Amino acid sequence: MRSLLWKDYRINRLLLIFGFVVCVGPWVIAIARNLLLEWRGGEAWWAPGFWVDVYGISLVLSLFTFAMLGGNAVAAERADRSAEFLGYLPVSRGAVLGSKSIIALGPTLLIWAVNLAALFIVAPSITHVPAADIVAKSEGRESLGVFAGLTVLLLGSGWFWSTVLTSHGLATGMSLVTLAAVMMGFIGLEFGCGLENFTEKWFLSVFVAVGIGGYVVGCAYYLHRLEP
Amino acid sequence: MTTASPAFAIETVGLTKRYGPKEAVSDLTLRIPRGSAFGFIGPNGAGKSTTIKMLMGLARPSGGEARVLGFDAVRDSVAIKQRVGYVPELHCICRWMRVGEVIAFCRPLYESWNDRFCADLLKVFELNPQTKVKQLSKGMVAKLALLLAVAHEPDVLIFDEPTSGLDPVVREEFLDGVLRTLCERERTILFSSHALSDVQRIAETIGLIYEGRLIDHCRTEDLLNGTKRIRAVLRDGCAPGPPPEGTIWQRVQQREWLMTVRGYSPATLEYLRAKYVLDHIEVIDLGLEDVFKDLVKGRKATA
Repeated sequence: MRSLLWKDYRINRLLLIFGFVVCVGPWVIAIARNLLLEWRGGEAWWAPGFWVDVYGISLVLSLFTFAMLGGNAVAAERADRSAEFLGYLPVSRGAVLGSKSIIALGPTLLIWAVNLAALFIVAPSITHVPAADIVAKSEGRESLGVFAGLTVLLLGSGWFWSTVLTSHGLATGMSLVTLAAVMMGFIGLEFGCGLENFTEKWFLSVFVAVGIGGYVVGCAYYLHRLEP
Repeated sequence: MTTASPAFAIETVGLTKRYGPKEAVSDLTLRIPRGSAFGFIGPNGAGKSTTIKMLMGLARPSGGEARVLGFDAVRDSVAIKQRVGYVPELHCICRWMRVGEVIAFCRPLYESWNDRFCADLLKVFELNPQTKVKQLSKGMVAKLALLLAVAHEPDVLIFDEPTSGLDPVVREEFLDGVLRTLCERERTILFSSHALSDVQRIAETIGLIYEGRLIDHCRTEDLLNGTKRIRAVLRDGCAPGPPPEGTIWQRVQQREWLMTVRGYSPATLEYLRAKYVLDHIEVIDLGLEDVFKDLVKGRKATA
């Protein structure tokens, strides 16, 4: 398992660096700008809205990382045919999926951990405003749920497309198309069927269902097929 | 998981693979005894690679069953891969890895990896562990693939066109490597190749597959000793008629009648002399390549 993890880490190394940069980058830039303002004698904006805005930017950019982590999972190795090499080594499909799941889910959780830590630990200690108030005042609580749903949807649907396609670029693109299709579905229900006022719970439920469904169906398909 | 069969290293019964309406492998029954070297030959698209993929658990059979060392190729493919060394036509080793990294990656996956043997082979094949796979020549990648296939000391070696595209010198070095591993201990080899001189050098028995069906399976020596080309020159006015029994291919050009006969014996000449008026008759020895070509041409002509 360790050697599989090492291989999957190496295959996704550039993507992990990209994910780290787009997750941490907005925080570094925003905090550095504020510190620079203070150093020059200006007034930095450390209000609760600042933390919610930066976390929003970081997670919006990270959505591409999640789509690519899912899309790369299996298809990246098919694209360069190294999946065939793995195919004739004595490794069970379950171990392959386990390693790929760790490489996809680990960084996703880390990106979320960085943003949640900034929002719920760092921000209250600097602004002296309770975390719940910071999130509530800026409608951050709503976006937290939607972002979580989008994360699951993009990762899960990217994973599914990755197990059936041979191009990781296409699999990543298809996960974004899946998101667009789900949103079109909501718009269709709103205008076509007269259903209105979708709440965060609606979005969250559908996003999570599509994402988890994609992951489960992708795993089942990969375990069933013998071809690399 | 089943226990290993004592008699056959590789066994297929009625093995079939369909791609849509086309049968790539059709009702293939093949038994390769342990410790033997089997040459698997056939024209392009005959079903050799598909059969090998099914044996390695890389393709699902549409019918029949395949067993390697008694293990079912579909259910127990991990157990098979532990005991089999496989060198495919396209060496898809991760190009971004260094040679040393490839070895470090594969080593923990095998229960019986032999570090000393691996180090010996690295020296023999002149492979530098620091070199990236993408910087290796085609021949060196083939040698690395051979190293990976044998370093865990498998009981069965399966080669699918391993020397395809290699220059004669590297091909020779590769075959020397294969023969070297054969000499180390008793191993079963399935060697599929279009380079029939390579097959002739390694294989004790030959299986010829054509359009998904096994049309011949015999000892290499018997095939070569028992298959001869006869060149007969007919006297003017004498037309060729039914050829001798066992004729697999024939061609008539003016008075010259060429035929390749399987199961040749002096009785074949007596038959021709008795039936036709001949000015000249001679028997020509054939290599495996000629026998193969005549078998395939004969099949095409009768199809």
